[in-house]
Amino acid sequence: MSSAVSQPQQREQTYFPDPAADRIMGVVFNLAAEVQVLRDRVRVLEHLLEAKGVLSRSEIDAFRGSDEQERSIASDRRDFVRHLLEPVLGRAASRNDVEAARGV
Amino acid sequence: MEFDRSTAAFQGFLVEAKQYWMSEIWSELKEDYRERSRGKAISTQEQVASLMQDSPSYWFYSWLERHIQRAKYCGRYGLGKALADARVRPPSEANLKLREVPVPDYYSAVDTHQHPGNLVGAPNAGLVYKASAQSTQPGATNRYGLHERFARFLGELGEFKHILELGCGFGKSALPLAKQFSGAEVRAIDLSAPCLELAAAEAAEARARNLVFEQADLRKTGYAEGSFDLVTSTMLLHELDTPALRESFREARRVLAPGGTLVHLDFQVKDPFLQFIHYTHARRNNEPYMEEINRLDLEAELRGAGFDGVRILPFEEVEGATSPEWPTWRFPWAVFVARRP
Repeated sequence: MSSAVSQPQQREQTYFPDPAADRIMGVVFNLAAEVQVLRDRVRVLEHLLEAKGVLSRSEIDAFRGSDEQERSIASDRRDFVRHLLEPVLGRAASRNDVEAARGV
Repeated sequence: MEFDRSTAAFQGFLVEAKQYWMSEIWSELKEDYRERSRGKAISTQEQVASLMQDSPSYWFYSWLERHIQRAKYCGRYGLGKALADARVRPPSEANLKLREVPVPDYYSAVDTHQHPGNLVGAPNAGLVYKASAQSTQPGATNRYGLHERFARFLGELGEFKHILELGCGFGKSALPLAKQFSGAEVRAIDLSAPCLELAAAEAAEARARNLVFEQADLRKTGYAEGSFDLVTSTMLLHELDTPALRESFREARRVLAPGGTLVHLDFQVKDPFLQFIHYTHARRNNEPYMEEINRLDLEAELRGAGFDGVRILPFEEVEGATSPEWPTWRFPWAVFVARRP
């Protein structure tokens, strides 16, 4: 039985003549996905806030958080950046040495 | 499976991206190939490969195919994290028989479909696989449609009473099979305990009382000779290496009663461009045996294993999908039918 989650050390496959482009694509793709996640969340918030009559858009611009709130925002920003830039590492996420497997 | 809002939005983004890839990017790729091949006599996938190697459309097509699939599993909105603690609730019915089955090397060598840890690793592997399969071919594999069509196809071949499904995964085809042949006893086997647990739980929920899941190796199932009148599978053959495929054919012949039927739903592709797409998909999706199985003469293999009446037919996962004008990317589905004399 293999371990629960493998820890592949292989390099990710590349498709562009310059392998740097593969990694840049990864950054762009993750960024696009993150933007969509945010858009979804903002839409939900707008709908809810409007429906409940809680606040207006100008109140969001004027917001200054408590230390704890700002720390939480900073932590989310750190997670975001890690996700955004992970493709630059060029590491495979699955064991993908198809050629070696054929020789098993 | 309920995800938090952000994970659902991310996974939804991937489904949208895959649909765009299947339609717009696929069309662009085909158009690019038409232009590059105009006036040239193309008869092999190797010729296609050399035409497409400097095609930016092909680079992006390839990158997106690889990375949309990768992204499903990985990162902070990936299935690995979202389902890390997810477990299948054991079925209340005795429809599941697990036993320790050694995992063959051909199976464990690669993380198939880019699924980290493969299907025999983590206890949530069945749930992760099921969630991932939702967006493999949106429109065909995200629902039971393809499997119900295949079950109806089997229904047209005969009224079977004792059915064995090989490599049943999380039971996506076993349930439609059990419904189609409601008077039959259906046994479904797989190597993956996490997949079988999920399959059994869903079958119990669907009250499919004629269906039992068992952990077994399809090369040596342990069933008595002549136990079944139908042995079948979907999306299995390309996951086997050639020796395993041959052993599975011989084992299927052994457990089939005389006159019994073998039907596999898998892939076959002969057109050079589509072959190129199929073989390169295999590499991008971590499918080490897809190319070698397509290269085999499966009719001869089945005859060699002691079958006759071999038929290989294209299969439509949705109405009209085998038309040359079909606008979206698809797998080259085919059914392989044979009779045990």
